[in-house]
Amino acid sequence: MGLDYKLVLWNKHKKTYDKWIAIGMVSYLVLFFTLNFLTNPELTAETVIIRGFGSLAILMLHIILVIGPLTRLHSNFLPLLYNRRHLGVSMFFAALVHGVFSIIQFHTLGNKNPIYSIFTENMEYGSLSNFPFQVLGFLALLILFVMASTSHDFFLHNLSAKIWKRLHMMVYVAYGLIVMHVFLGAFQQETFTVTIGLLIFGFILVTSLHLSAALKESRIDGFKAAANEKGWLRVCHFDEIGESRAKIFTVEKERVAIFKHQGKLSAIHNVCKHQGGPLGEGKIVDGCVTCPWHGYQYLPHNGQSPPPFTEKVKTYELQIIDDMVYINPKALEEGTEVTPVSCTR
Amino acid sequence: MIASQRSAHKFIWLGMAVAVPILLFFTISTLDFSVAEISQKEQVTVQKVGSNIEIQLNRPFVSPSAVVYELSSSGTSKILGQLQGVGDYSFEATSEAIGILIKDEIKKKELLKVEF
Repeated sequence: MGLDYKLVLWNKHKKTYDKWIAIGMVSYLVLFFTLNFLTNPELTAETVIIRGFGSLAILMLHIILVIGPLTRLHSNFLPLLYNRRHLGVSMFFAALVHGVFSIIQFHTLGNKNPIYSIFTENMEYGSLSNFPFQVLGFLALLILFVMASTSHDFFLHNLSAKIWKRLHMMVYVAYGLIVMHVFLGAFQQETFTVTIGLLIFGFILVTSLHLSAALKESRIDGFKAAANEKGWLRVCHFDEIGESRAKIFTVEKERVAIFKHQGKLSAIHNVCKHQGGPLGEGKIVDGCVTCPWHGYQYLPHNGQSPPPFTEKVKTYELQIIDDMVYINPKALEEGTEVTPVSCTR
Repeated sequence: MIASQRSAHKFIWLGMAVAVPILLFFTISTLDFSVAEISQKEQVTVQKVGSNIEIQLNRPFVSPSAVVYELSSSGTSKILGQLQGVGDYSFEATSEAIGILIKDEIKKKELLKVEF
């Protein structure tokens, strides 16, 4: 049995996104190289390449890391998320150029294996100020390599969304390693306050946005609904849900999106099978729940993607009693048909 | 994200928010900012012992290469070897040796010149 590998499908939006990535990267590098050759003409081309691509990679990593929490905090940022994977792969290539040139310049002139040299050239592992910061950068590059090489939907489908997401959350570890790589490197090479200041600002920005988004999510998770005698949870008045839109509730620790479509309510699991996008923040387009991240669609009454697609999410039973919406907290199997309940009084 | 991933996300960033500033604080507090002002002679100690030139490298050069040349009284220079990291080095010198020159051969830059 073979695995079905499909090529990346570029649509108009992806092409536009990629065009802006390329324009941004080239503009940054041209500006960086020009400024360096004008202000530091004594620097060798290799050094400028190492610094240019290294700073580009860390700038891109900051942009990548703020996109997620920004979209959690405000839906206006959702277009940035659309092709974030290509931004990530582009960032990896910038980091790879930085890493390869650094290894060639600093670790290939001796008689040691260059990779062995990274780990053994400086053995001051017990010192913070003289720590071999190159090791941290190398480990981060390995993580970024694993992420870039598994970014295609082929791996997403075959690893499952849960494992794929866990794997790609390793970017947080890579970020921590890179922050320390740059800090320790900057401290050992030169105490250039602008570099250090920019990185501290970036770290505060990224961390505070992620924590703000996490706290917002915690508040939603803290929602406690009252249960009736059957154990069904009372979640809201049906008028609180707008037509073709949803409200999200936490049921048995999982998020459920209750959609209103043509005056009837349906409930499905809130997590998109593609990349874990919040379905309840999307809307119903052409009769289908449409994920706000990449446009994956599901039918509201059975949680199945319309043919030929095969994605399925769990569904939930609903009841309306005295205009209040009740949900059975026990999820049904993925793709189970549930008759939508009417909101008419 | 599913519930376990949301929880992992929150605790990872809480951990980062605490750990990175602590590491930075200790890094900065252990830094010796006067290091940059120490002269190259304190970074490297050079002695002629018999027919050998002994070099003690206390801190690495911030250069991709450090090649050691012998300076002779006849005005010529001869390659003795390369410094690769902190440590003690011993090179056999000629009787005409009057000093050494340490040069970065990649950047074509003179790093240190010592005469005995």
